[in-house]
Amino acid sequence: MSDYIFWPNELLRKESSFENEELIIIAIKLEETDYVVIAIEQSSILQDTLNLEYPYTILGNRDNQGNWTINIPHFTIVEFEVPKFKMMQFYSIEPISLILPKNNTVDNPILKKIPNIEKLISYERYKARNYKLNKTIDIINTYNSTLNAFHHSYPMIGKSKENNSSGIISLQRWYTSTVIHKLTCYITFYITFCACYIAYFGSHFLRKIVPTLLRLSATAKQIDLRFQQICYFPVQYMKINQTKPQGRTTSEYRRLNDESSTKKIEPSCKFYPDYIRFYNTLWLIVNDTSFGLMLGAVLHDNHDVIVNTLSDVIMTTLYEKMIEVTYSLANNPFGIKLNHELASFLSELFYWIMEFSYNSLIKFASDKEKLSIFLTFVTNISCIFGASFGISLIVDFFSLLSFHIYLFYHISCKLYHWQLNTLISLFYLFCGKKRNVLRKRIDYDYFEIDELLLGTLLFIVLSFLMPTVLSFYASYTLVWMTAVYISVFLNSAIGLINHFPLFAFLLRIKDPKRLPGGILLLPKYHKNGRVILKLHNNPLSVPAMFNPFSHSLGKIKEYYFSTVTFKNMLSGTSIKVQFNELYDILYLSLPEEPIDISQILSKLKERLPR
Amino acid sequence: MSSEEPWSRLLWIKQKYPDNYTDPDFIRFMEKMKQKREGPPIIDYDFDQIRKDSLKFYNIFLNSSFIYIVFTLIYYYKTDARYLAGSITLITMLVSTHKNKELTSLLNIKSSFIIIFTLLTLSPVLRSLSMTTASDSIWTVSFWINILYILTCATSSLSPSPHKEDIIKHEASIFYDIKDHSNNKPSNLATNLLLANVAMLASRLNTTTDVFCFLLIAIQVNIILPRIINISHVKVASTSSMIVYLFVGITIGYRITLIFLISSVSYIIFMPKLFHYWQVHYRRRDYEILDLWDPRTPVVDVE
Amino acid sequence: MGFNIAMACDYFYPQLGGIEFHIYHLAQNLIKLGHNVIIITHQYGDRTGVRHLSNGLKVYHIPLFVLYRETVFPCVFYTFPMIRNILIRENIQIVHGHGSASDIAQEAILHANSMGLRSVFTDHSLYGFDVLGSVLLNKLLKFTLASVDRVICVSNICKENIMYRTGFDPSIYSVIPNAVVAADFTQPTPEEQAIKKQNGRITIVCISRLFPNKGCDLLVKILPTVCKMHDDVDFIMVGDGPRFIEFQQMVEAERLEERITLLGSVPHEHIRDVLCKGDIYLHASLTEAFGTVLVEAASCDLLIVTTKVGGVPEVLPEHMTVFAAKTAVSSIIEATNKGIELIRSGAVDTSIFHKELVQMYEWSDIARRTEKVYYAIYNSPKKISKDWTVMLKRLYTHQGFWARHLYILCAIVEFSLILIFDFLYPREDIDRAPKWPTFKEYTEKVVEFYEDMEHIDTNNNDSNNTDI
Repeated sequence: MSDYIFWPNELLRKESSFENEELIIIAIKLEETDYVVIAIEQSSILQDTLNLEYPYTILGNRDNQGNWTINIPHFTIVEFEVPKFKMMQFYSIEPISLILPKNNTVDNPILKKIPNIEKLISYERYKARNYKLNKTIDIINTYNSTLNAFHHSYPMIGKSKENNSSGIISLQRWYTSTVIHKLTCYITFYITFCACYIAYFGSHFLRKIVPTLLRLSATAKQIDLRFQQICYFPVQYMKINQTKPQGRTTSEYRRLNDESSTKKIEPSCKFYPDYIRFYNTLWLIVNDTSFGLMLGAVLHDNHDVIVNTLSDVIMTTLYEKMIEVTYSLANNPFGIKLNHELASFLSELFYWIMEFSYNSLIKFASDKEKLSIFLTFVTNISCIFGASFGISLIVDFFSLLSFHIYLFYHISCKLYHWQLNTLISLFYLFCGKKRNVLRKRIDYDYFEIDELLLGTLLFIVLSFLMPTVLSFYASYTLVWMTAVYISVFLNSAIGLINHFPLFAFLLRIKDPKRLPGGILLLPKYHKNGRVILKLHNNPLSVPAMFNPFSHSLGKIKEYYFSTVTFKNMLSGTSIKVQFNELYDILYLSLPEEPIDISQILSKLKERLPR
Repeated sequence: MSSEEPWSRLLWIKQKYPDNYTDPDFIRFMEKMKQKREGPPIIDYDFDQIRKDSLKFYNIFLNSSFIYIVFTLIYYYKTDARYLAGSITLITMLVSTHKNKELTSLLNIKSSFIIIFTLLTLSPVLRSLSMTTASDSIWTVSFWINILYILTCATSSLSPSPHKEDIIKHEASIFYDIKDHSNNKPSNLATNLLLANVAMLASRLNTTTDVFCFLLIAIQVNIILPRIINISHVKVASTSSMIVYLFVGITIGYRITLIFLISSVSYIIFMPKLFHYWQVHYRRRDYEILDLWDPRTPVVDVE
Repeated sequence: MGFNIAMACDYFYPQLGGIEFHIYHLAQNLIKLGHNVIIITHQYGDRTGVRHLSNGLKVYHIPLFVLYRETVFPCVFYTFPMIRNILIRENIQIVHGHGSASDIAQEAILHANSMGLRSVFTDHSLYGFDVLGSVLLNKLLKFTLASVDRVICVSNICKENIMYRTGFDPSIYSVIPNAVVAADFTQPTPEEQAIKKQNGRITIVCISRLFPNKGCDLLVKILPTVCKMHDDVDFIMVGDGPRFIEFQQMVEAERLEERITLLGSVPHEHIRDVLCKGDIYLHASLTEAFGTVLVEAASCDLLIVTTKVGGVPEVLPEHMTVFAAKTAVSSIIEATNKGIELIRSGAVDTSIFHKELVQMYEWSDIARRTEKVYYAIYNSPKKISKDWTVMLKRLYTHQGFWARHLYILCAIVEFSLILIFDFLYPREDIDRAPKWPTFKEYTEKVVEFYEDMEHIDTNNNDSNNTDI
């Protein structure tokens, strides 16, 4: 098996500067990594010093004609660009996760199910290779630190990089020592403190005291989400600040071995997504507010027109049209002759619900003055808190107004479902069979004349009544599904506003190396009959960034646009708006349980300047 | 071939004969069969059975036509349904007292009560059920259900295949034997189809009393009576034929009755003959052959 | 040098059954004898195109519409272009069709005859003259098999049946039985025997697809009656089908859950384990051409109680079997009682059955006998002519007026299609498939390969993946 030698581009440039000189290659190799070249030096320098200790080795040398000799038999050279860790560039084999790791529901489930891939992954050789590569990538990511550590141990080899501390840093140092800075810190801390406590208790109140409201109302859900986000900010902030690559001393790298290197590397890679998430949330909140201002402006400018249209629309579609539909159902719709008694009974029932909801709700909702007040309220809310709040208010308003449609649907659905089941059971009896509930199968049986008579007469009666119930059910299902689709559409809009990976998207445009989605090894050129590979960063693809969102869209599709939905409709199973399912996506970037806020704040307090 | 070892019809011993050796007996058999095929047809079909089956079919048809007769009487001629129901019930009672044991075994008191109460409860519902449906569609549906009923009845009660042995011959008495339940029990599906048909027709009647009486009559005539008396018996069949032809004669007219009568007589006399002729000359089933290769009939002789 | 043989049948792997195993084992053993064998069948789900099984057995899955129970819709000419292409591509000399109900088998034989190739047909089942379906099937057989070279049957009764149905020269019919893979149906191991003997009870095994023609109406009555007669007799029922619920209901109604085990369908590789739990195998089928399952059961040292139908009396020696005189419940119960008595008294030594059967039915012997049939085609003095005019004449001898003219019409269409195909897709343009090396060639190659291997990195030498 051949070894891989990872060769930084910097050293290639350095190498070309030493022409016609004898050079040696120094590489680092831990127990479970490949070779990573860290220095190329004139061989004259090394002769003065001691032999190199583990993990450093002399990999090979070059004579003054420029011919390389490598000390290992089989090898492949992989060139790489040293990632600028301070610029938050790094390589990663796994794509960076933009959601919290425990919410891994978004992972492609189809991929998991393929047994061949599972077998392949569990294959030992594959595993070993992957592990080794992971470790090597870790060394590459901390290349500069590794280099520093090397220079520290062997100061005579090469020269350490100049400390390029510029004027800005000294200015920063001066600033942190002033009183203004302290004051700002304390003020910021207490503002955060207050906001967090309010958010924490608000969220607690919503979750524990009125969970029903949280389940039913989009606005409550939206408020809870915002509270949660605020609670989570300090946690995220601390995670990011802990691992800022500033206070790292080179002495930590003195005893560089397997363990310490991974220990240092892991947190920085682990909490980097938090950095993205933190800023993404902040950006989104700002973005939400700016959208809200836009929405508010539009609503404000067209206030009168909207109020008038809305009032008319509510009145016609939610009241007059419904009455019309019910009336036509009771009077032979499309010339289909329904059972008159049942149809008139059902339509009476629905008229009654209609009147009730008109008197208690629609009359007020379509009243222009009240509508105007509501619209102003929405405008203001959306200007202050953001478009998502405005839209969720609209959603709640809509679901409140369409409540009677839900009632219609639910009643006719229950009726239909019950009747269909009875008909199926009676049909079994009609064929001389019966369903064995315990064993879940269809048994043969012989029935006596009285059982048959009762069963058949009921069967005939129910089959005659079926078209009537079916037509009611079909019409109301149609109306209800329209209402459901409208609110699903609005909810997805809220989801998009709340979860658009804006920051990651901009980061991707600015510097793709900061969003690694894997690595890519490409052949670069041939040298002495050998292929030289080049290590590339494979940035996270745009569809992968939208993965959580597209996943939840898929879920919505499954719930409302699939054949399963259609089958449910046919069998009379009730279809509801699954608010919780839609909102799962919003919580993907948050921990499941609210954080214990007091602990976090006390920790934060420790870090205040004294 | 060695003469000491004759060819045996066994697969598990290795024989000296080649694989394509054919039993000379079988070649002779084939020759015989060929001659038999070319020779005159052998008449070994059970003509009686064919005639019996076709008569049975005719009787089922007659029996189901009683539904329509009663319906016409009530719906069209506005006969008082109560008298009709009363007289039919009386007949049933008389017949069943004649064979009291059967009635108690078929219908105990509980189920008769259930039937009466079911009819009483559902009659008003049935009456208003098809108010808005056009009469024509009800007639059509009723017609098709009736055809289905006759077919299901016929397939379930006709004897399976004439050549099969061990067919239990029906006794030539008017009344069924008490132990002989398996033969006169129609399938559930047939009974249900009949009931569906009756219920559909009943929904066209004007008053609740009519609906109740009509259902009662239909159940007695088409379900209870055929279980007690043998409708294939000559006396029963001729009585019901008389009633049907008389009714058709009175209501529709004698010409149509005549056509009807001629067609049914020719059905009873010529159909079995035609069928028999077809079997002998065209179908040419050879039981000698059938017994060799066809799947055997399972004989269930243990209860 | 062996023949290039194409086996054509609708039923093949991944479906498992009697015919499927027959084709597979026959093909494998013919390959061992040095022949090249390919298999033509229809698609199974997404299994279309060419697949390879062990020892280079190539399977062509033709994309066809499956009509009912894995039989394709009969459309005489639709498969012609594909089958012609395969036959030319693989340089086929002999087409061997299996099963009367298999449409692909019949079409392949028909097309092979028109293309002038030799053809053999194996029939696996008995067909009556009572049902409309089998009457039509007989008419179809008379057409497709009109110019077949040889017919193989699995038992004498089956041979007489097809002789009567087709009526060709008796010398072209051969009887070659099925066989069992002795290694798959071994005697019960000592541990299994110990478990069997432990409680001193007698277990009766029934294996049958629960269709009416397999005698489930009988079994459903026999099981409870036998249970009532003997307190120390248990049953194991294997098999699924439309009548399964009747058995479940019977078990529940008679409260025999302790005594009768209904296993439903059991994969073929586990049948042996089930058989080894029993002492007696009960078979109540109403028709049977060969009854492979009887041989399998006897090979696991079970005493056989069976109805005397079809080819069953020919299959097993008398000391292994107890026959029921009639296909009647009382008769089978009587035979079962006799079997139970034999087992109880130890009058029959079942432990010698396996050794005896291994010698009676083995696949290598079957393959050799089949090979003989192939050679006989070429060595026979009266070869079946594949000349088109002769074949037409042969069809014209059919008795029925309408059938005769329909046959002639179809044959003419068939012949003209060959001309059209030869024009549109000339034979020269079809790629010839390289043949898989025969066993001898293979061993030579392997030796060469290992000599080379000493210089080659052995890392990426993965074993071949095979389906069976």
